[in-house]
Amino acid sequence: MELVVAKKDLLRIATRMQGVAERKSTMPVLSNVLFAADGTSSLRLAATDLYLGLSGKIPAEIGKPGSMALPAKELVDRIKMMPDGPISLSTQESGQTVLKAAGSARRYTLRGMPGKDFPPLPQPAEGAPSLAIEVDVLQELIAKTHFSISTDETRAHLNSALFEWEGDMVRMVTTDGHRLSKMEVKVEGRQASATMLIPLKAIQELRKLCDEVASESQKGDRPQITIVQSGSSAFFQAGSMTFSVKLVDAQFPPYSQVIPQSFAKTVRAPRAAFTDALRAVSIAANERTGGVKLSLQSGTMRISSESPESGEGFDELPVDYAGETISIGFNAKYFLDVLAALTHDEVMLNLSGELDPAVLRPGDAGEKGAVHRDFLAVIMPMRI
Amino acid sequence: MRTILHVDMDAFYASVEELDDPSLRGKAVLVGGAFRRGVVAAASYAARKKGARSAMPMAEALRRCPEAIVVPPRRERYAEVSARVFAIFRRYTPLVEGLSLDEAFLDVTESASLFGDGEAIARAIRAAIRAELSLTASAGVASSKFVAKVSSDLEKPDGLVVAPRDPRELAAFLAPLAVDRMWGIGPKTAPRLRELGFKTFGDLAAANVASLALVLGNMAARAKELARGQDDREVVPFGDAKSIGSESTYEHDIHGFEAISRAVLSHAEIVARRLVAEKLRARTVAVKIKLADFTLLSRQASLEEPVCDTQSIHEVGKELMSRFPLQDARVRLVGVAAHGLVEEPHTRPLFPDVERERRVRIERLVGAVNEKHEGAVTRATLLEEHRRRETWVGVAKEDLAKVVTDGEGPQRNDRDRRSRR
Repeated sequence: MELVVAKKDLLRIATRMQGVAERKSTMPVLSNVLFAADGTSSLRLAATDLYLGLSGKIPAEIGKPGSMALPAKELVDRIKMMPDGPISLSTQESGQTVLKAAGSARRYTLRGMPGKDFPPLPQPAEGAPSLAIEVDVLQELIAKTHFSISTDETRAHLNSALFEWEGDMVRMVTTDGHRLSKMEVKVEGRQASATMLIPLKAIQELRKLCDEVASESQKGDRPQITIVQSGSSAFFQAGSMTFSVKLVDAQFPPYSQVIPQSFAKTVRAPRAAFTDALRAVSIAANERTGGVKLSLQSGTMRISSESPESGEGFDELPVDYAGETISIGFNAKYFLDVLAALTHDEVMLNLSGELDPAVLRPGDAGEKGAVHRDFLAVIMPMRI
Repeated sequence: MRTILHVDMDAFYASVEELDDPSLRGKAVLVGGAFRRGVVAAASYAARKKGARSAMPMAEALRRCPEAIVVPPRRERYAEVSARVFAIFRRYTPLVEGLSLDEAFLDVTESASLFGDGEAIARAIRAAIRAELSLTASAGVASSKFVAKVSSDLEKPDGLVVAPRDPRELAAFLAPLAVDRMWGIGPKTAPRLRELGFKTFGDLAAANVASLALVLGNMAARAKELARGQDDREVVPFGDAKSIGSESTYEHDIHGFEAISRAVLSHAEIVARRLVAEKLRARTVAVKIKLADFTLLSRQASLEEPVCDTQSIHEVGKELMSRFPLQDARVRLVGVAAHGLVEEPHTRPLFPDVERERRVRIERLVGAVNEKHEGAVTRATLLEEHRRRETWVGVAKEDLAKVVTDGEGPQRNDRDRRSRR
């Protein structure tokens, strides 16, 4: 295989590939990125860990077609060191691969593995249903929910995000068993029905893919991603990139049952001041529990923490609250994650009893707006 | 440079027995399970003088020391005294890593400004243990865990050894020690090392790793480092115990699925009690069974939801047991262990598992009652073994009723425990 590509294109796509390639696999070939040059004007790259797969094309001048799998990390490290401009890549039967910068003496030799050893990536079945969604919508679904995905890999049903398309509503729900985030957006005029459980690692890569597509789009454009569900996989296509995900085969918990429908108390708080006070008090919270106490009385929220190791912390802020006095303990991080994902000036907190879930949502939710967007977070209390 | 203490109670179980029963004091005491077949859990110093050692088969210990008084172990009592010992440790630093009920590493590096140097803290701890508990402990003070542990053993019982901090002086201090004291070198390996001319730490420190590897395999390089006093391991504080287990060797072989299952249940109960007391849950449950011919069978299962109650542990244990060929088997030892320990979640669950929560609540209630009236509540299946405590049951019921009605029992205990930490 012999070809020439622009450093900028190669670095961008190879970095994406590195995110998917598996470093610690029992199959050595999986730590590689596949280079395949079959046409005359483009190079296809692919990486997989057998659960996620990513493939994409970049423009290239192909001198001699062929394929080779090259170690992902080593490859990216070397491309980074190349001067801007064209890079030539040539491979030999033995696996020996030379990367050379045009107009410079800089050159690397790497050992690759034959392209035919690389596992084929899954392909969607012919005629599988496909949905188009704006990249910014998918970005928002992920940004507002990713933080409450459980990081516990042994609990597959919580170590993933639920993606639902119901009528003209798309929705993402995540939970780690102690808190839950739900974001939904109305996509006018596009009716569909789909449910998928997307694993955490895929959500992280999908987020990067979305960011990249968004950053490359022209101002005023709303680029789309096409989602194809086929067999046990989902395929996310944007431009020349296809990201395939082996979906989680498990039952997401019955989330709608745990979203409280009525509350005894409603608090409206300025988001920035609430965040600031919580963050300040939380550094003095018990390290193991992260617990802080929110105490509400008419017009004021007091936030306090105490731990045998780190002493006490206290702050208060004016809030819109007229109910009776109440104190509830929470893990501060659960609140801070949600507050950081929101952009609204005001947040609304609904509470009932000391042991009942709290619901946090944007303060101006449901107000007039062109598109229906609805977010809420359910957070369970802790005994303080 | 760090300051690390290793504090080791002297003949702990035997000393507690002597403390509780003055008639045993100064006598040869062996703490051990089933009389003829068990192993020695602890031997008093009087018994040690005659050659009895812990971990020795009881029969062998009694052959060497026929006058010894054998006392069945009372683990709950030891755990209770141990909690008080550890409470003393925690007055001086939060960084306490318990190795067992009777020994711990303490990182006191940051405590110097409050309590003085390592030696001063070790003296204060030993004095407090003596004054408050009438027990003795030996301590080693060093800049690493390994050297602290080796040091605490040098002048046992009731000894205090401070190892030099200067690397050159430390090397000289360690050099003459016999290889037997090296971590991981036991009675089988030591003679082989000696044959090759490695008699002391100094020999190990100067050795060529390749020649050490002939005997020690992949431990060779590590042993050489340790022999020079190089050990970067940190003191990992309490709560990070890797596993909690309980096992017994029975005086008479047990047989039949029912009897073995009952043995598993009784160990599950002990393991669950400790999990609940330490606010831990287990992701993995293991069962170990030793047959009369010493064949060891062991299996473990990883669970999706971590458990901490007797019933759940017993269910997994029974399931594991059923995979063993126990038909007609005679069993001498049964054990249950909990691994993959995680902290009990602090935040309430969003999707409560009603059955699981009920089991945990029962476990807490039983624990709360038993804390007051030891062994008052047990499972009907195990009653046979607890019959001698029958008189307690009346008291227990009232207590249980009280705990159930005001619901305060276990919570009150939680709070106590937290403040004690």
